[in-house]
Amino acid sequence: MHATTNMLFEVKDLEVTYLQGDQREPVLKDVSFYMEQNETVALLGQSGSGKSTLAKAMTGMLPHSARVTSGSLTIGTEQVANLTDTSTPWQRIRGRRIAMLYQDPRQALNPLMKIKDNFRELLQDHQLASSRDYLQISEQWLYALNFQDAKRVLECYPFQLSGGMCQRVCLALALCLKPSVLIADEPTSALDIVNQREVLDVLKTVQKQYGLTLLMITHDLAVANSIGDRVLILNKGKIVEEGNTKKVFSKPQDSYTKQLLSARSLLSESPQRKSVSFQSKQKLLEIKGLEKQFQQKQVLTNIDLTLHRHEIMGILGQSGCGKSTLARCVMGLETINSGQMMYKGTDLSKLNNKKRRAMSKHIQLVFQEARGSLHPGRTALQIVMEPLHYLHLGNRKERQSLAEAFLKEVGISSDMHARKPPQLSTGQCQRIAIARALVLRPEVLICDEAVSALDMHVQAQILKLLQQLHQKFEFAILMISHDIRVLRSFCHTIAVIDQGRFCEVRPANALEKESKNAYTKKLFHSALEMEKGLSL
Amino acid sequence: MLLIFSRKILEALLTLGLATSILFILIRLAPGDPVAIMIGQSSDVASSNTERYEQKLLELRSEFGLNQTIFQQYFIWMKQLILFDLGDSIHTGRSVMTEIADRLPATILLSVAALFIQIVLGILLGVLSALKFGRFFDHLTRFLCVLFASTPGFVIGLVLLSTFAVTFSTYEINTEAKLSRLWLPALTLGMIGAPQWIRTIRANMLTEFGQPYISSAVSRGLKYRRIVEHAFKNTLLPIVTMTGLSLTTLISGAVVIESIFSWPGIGKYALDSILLKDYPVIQGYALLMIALVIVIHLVIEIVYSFIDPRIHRKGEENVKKDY
Repeated sequence: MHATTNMLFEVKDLEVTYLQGDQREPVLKDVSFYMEQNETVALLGQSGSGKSTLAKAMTGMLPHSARVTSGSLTIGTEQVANLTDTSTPWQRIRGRRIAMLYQDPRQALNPLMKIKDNFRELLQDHQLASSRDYLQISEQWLYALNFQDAKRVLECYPFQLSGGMCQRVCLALALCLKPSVLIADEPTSALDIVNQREVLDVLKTVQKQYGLTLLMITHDLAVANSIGDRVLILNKGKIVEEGNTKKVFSKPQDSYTKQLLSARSLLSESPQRKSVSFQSKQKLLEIKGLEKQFQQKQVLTNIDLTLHRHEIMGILGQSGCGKSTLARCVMGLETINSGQMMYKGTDLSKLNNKKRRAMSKHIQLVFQEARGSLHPGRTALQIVMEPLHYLHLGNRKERQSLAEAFLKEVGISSDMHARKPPQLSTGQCQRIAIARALVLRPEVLICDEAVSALDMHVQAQILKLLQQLHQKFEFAILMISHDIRVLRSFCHTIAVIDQGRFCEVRPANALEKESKNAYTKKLFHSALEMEKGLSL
Repeated sequence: MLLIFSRKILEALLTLGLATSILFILIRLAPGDPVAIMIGQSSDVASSNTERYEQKLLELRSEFGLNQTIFQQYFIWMKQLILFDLGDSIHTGRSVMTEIADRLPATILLSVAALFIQIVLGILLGVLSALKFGRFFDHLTRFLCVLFASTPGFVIGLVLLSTFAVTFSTYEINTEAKLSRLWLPALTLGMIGAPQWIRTIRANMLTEFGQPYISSAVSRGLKYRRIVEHAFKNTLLPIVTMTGLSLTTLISGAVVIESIFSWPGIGKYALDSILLKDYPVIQGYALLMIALVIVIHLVIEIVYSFIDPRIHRKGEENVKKDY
């Protein structure tokens, strides 16, 4: 590798295999890279490319089934670990020299421990504070990470803080040991756009302030673009391209990088951009003054919404704003406190269970967690046949042929019909979930963050598929998402929801220009800031 | 908080009333007549002519109020209950309250001691075998768990009794409930129940070890002991639930072991009364057990909310505001 004078961190010839069945499958092949002091390097790859394995190998945290066959780790001028050596004193390296940030910040903190106790044991274990002065030190670190109310935060449990705040707490915990290298493993992918922005800003600031060398592991081009000085592209365990971020993104050399960039541009294409008027079309779903409370907490306030035949409407908002609750209310999974939900003149909230069930033929829901929403013990074909069976539609043969037809429609070939969800990829699972929803030929399809958990190119594939199916079967879609990019490219109309209220409803192509709402602007600002420089 | 608490108490009373009522009816619907059994045992009436037998039957039935309708009987029982009177045993004529009060402490003592042994064994071996996952110790513990879980309790009891009372003569055999006689039945019950604890704690520890907060703690370079503590604290929740469930099972189900070790607990007394269809005793015993289960579950819920902050802070206002 290019040894430079400022080189701080170097991984050489790293190879890792996993035991799969009886065989050892290589997961990382000949991975070598370096990072300079104060540099931010983005490691970009899709799920299954070996990103997290790389992070684990660098901190000696690989599971038992993994084996490092070669590789060394150098920090500064000292080779701190021969990665094949199992007797490496990792406890002295972890935290002190290499710190880590994890994907889901709420899960990265012990749910039963107050924030202050996390600091106490960390500082005591590393002999940086006694039981008397740890509070003071913890407070200082929290203030350094933009917490205005550090004293109160220290007394909180993780569940009392937002995702962004938890991630900043994790960052404070990582920084208080003054490491020279910080590995952030998808630190923002579990957060919505505003929290994402918040964490990335803080990361940038502390990286400069404390002279950190930052390795940002991500699957998101926008994140890599907004933070990385250099970018490494990882595909199937190999680094296929590396270089200056702007250069790589503007002139990609490797075919895989090109593929990634094209998947993204596909998302940003705007086939729905032309303004379409739906006023003349039939109203399918009409919600008026919907209110929903959980215990004493108001979750949805005065929601008015009209969905016309063939319309694609986006519901945009941060996590916790009530988007999913709205979907669940429409599906009858939650009872509403007041208001009307009319489907072609029938009030959904007044139906009894039997009629409600019959209504599921007309309104269907696709969930975010594709794999989790499918029965793990049933085959793809059985899963798609199930709703037909429940609603007593057709005989067995007819059901099977219909299910087969719809599986073909979503691009699941017949050799995969007998496979069960654990044997399928997440993208395939989401296709099956879509087939299961569409096999009833519903007139309204609700997609609750249906593509958020997917890799970029799979996201693009699924959205393209939904568009094709929408053209063919002419159903209306209620697309719930926190991703402006997805909604902007996919929807006719976008409704922005903040703290359970609709701020505004506008045509997708006009939202950015015409919106005067501060919240909408904040969402757009956060999203666009990250995309700057991505040649789209 | 006060509202939640009073609601819980109300719920508990309702459950108690409903459960005892159902039991009251079921006991009377079951075949067999306590008076007939009683007369059958005293040879002078049974051997004489049927007319006298029938007459005696009627006499005794009216004496114990059994000639009244079920509802009348239920009403009388309720009236007694309000005055904290469980009635008198048909068989012995003694007050049920006194009989139970005489025997219950011995059973509770035995159950608590057994539970203590179960928890200690469970935590110790469960945590250790999770830490030694896949190694010899883990395999050995698992083997022993299967062995003890599949051996009937009375076999373990008899083996221990013959070993310590006969072979080594270290255990005295009589019917007294004293501390020097407690350890062997407690150990037996402990060994019967421990496998369940060991397996649950081991499985929970392994699940917790796979959680992201553990990886995160490891990556911060915390000491090994701390990391184990993290995982253990999170396995405490199911342990609390299991404590309650085990305690109720022990108190109500220790009858076999009590018989083997001649431990003067309530189990044997209840079993005898059931065979004799001694209604007041069965009712009193059932009422007590149901009340005990309800109280234990109430305590579990309260303890739960102290261990898991997510439960008792649920109602607090949203504190996720920083800007």
